[in-house]
Amino acid sequence: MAFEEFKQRRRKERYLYALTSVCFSGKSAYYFAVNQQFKMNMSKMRGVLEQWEIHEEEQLKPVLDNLLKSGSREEFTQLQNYLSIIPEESRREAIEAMPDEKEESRKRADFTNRYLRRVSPRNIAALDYAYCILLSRYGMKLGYMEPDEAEEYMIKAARLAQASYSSWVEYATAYIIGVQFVDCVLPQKSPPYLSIQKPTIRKLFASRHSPLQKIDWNTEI
Amino acid sequence: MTAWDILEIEPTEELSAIKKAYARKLKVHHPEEDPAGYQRLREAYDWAVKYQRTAVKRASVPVEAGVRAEEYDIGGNDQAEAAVEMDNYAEADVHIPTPPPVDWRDYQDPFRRNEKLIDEFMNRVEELYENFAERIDIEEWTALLDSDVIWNFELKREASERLLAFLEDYPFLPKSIWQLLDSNFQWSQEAFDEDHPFWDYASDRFSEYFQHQVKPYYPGLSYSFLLRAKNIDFDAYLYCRECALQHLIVNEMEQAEEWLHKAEAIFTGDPELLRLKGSVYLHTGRLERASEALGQVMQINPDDIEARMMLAYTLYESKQLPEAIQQCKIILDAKPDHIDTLSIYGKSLFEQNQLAESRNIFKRIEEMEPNASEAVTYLAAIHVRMIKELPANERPPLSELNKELQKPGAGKQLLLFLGRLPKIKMMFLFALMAYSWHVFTDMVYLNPFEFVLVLVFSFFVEEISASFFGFWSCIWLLFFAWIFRKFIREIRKAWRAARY
Repeated sequence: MAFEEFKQRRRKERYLYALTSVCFSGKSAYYFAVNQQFKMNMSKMRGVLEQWEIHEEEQLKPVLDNLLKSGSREEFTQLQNYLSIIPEESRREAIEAMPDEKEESRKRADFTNRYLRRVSPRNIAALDYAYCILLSRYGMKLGYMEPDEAEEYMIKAARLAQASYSSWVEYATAYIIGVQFVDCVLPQKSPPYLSIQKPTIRKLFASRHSPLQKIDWNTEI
Repeated sequence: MTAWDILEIEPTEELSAIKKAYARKLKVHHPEEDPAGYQRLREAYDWAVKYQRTAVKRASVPVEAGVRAEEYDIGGNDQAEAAVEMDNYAEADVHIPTPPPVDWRDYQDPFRRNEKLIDEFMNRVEELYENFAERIDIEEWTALLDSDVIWNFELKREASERLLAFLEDYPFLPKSIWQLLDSNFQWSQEAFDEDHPFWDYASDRFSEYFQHQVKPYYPGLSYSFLLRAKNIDFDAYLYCRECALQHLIVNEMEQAEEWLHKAEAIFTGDPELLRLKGSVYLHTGRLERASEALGQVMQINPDDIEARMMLAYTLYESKQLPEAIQQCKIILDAKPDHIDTLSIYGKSLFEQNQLAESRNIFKRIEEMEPNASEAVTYLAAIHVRMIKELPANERPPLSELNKELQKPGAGKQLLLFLGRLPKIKMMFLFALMAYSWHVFTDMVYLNPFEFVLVLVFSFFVEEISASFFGFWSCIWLLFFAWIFRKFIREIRKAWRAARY
């Protein structure tokens, strides 16, 4: 019985690690994706939390709650709803007519228009759920959160992700689109996210040792 | 009763105060509901404006006189005369004649003639609005805007205000007509003008609605399908549909659905409404109902590519893959490079295990858009499945698939492994390991092989003693073991990242 519980616990952990394996970017992305269970540099974890403007314990939970409740997908959905009402041939014109003070919205609308029907109806929720798990984990390791509480957030996000997508490929696609949606308002990076990430994404799908290959999407959690 | 009484303000020379009063009273004496009251109000307003202009002119004269007197320096007497003149003007200012109680409207005859023209203009507006076919016909409105009233600056201004006041109560016009009217009367520019009385008093709701109608980036729904509706309350229907749209855009699905039901209770054959319904159901996960609503759109308007596209999307999501594929094929027949459709088509084929066809579709998407996200992920997934599931004769050569997956050879994997090792950290750990082992072996005077043998046998054979294994040697051994573990872990991490 205890062994079964241990196995179940380990299965959950591995599933959670797999869900966050898409969160890493850059040349060492795959290295970090497959080595998440090893102890990570504290300052790196703190750096990630600071990117989300989490500097103290109290700031963590509101961010996690927001990720579960609305996150970036809220804006994407609104733009999706808005754009789907405009006839396709008029969309570009409508986006360009957005006033200058809505520069960010214009860029986001332009990006959303590109992926309007190419992402699942749950759209970029994968990004919110993946970060909810990652931030909970880092928060727990940095002592911002009790392990039980962190696990509760992680499991909640994992279940929502599982209910929203039907496979790893759908989940990863939504995540990648989400990252680009968030990044599209930043000054043009060179080279763009996907051209750097392509080898990592391919390896995550192709390597038989990758978490996405080893762990079943429909794992019971 | 004076003009000031009608406007319900104290006599003033401030144009903005007069305009505000006029706009406020316009709400009470609406041109359609109280024409006589409106007529009185309008005349009072015109009189007050004329009065204000005269007063301003008067106020400017004494200053000019004063300047003149100084410039010419015409001597003490002249200066005294000039001062008297100024005082007279000042007195005149103090004694501003209040409007005569009865006769002031006698000066308004030209206005009355003009008013008739404006009334005719507004009557035509009303007629257009009442007849739904004419209401949505942009030609009719263009013809209206060609009338004489519009070519006279003063009359145009008056017509503009009355039309806008009318539209506040009857606002349901197609977006194109709103934009036509706005470009003609410049309402959206005046909306930012603080002195414009109408916008000060227009309701927030109308102001917001107006902005939505005139801004090109805000979506507008088609009115043309409502021509098929007979004897319905068009405005009630359009109000419900507009409310549903507003809620849908801000993702308030429950409220949107509520308004959709209300609209549906009035009229059911509007594909725009059905499309909104489809959107609401799709985003709330009720895929079957979404398909049903979108299927109805297809029955009404089979040429609606966007609705068909949405239907294909819904069918794919509900895993009705053959139906989704069928819809995609219809769209692709008309628009072969429709990337959204290609994406759904490719995914549906992938789910149906038609890997080669799916691969072709995603390759096409990749050609059209080199960094298409779904092309990257799905192609990777397809290639992996091809290697695993398909026999060699049914898939591209293995070398090609491995190349697509950027699978490295053994040598490259080794280089990757070495590259992944944290070199400085490894060197440091190695140095520590070597040093701790050296100290330890110095303490126990044994080489590692002998040490392990002696240690193991000491547990089983009484004659062999491990007494040489003192406290410090134990500490150094533990330290060595700890560093060794770290060293191995770094190697393992690098290997995990390098292997394919």
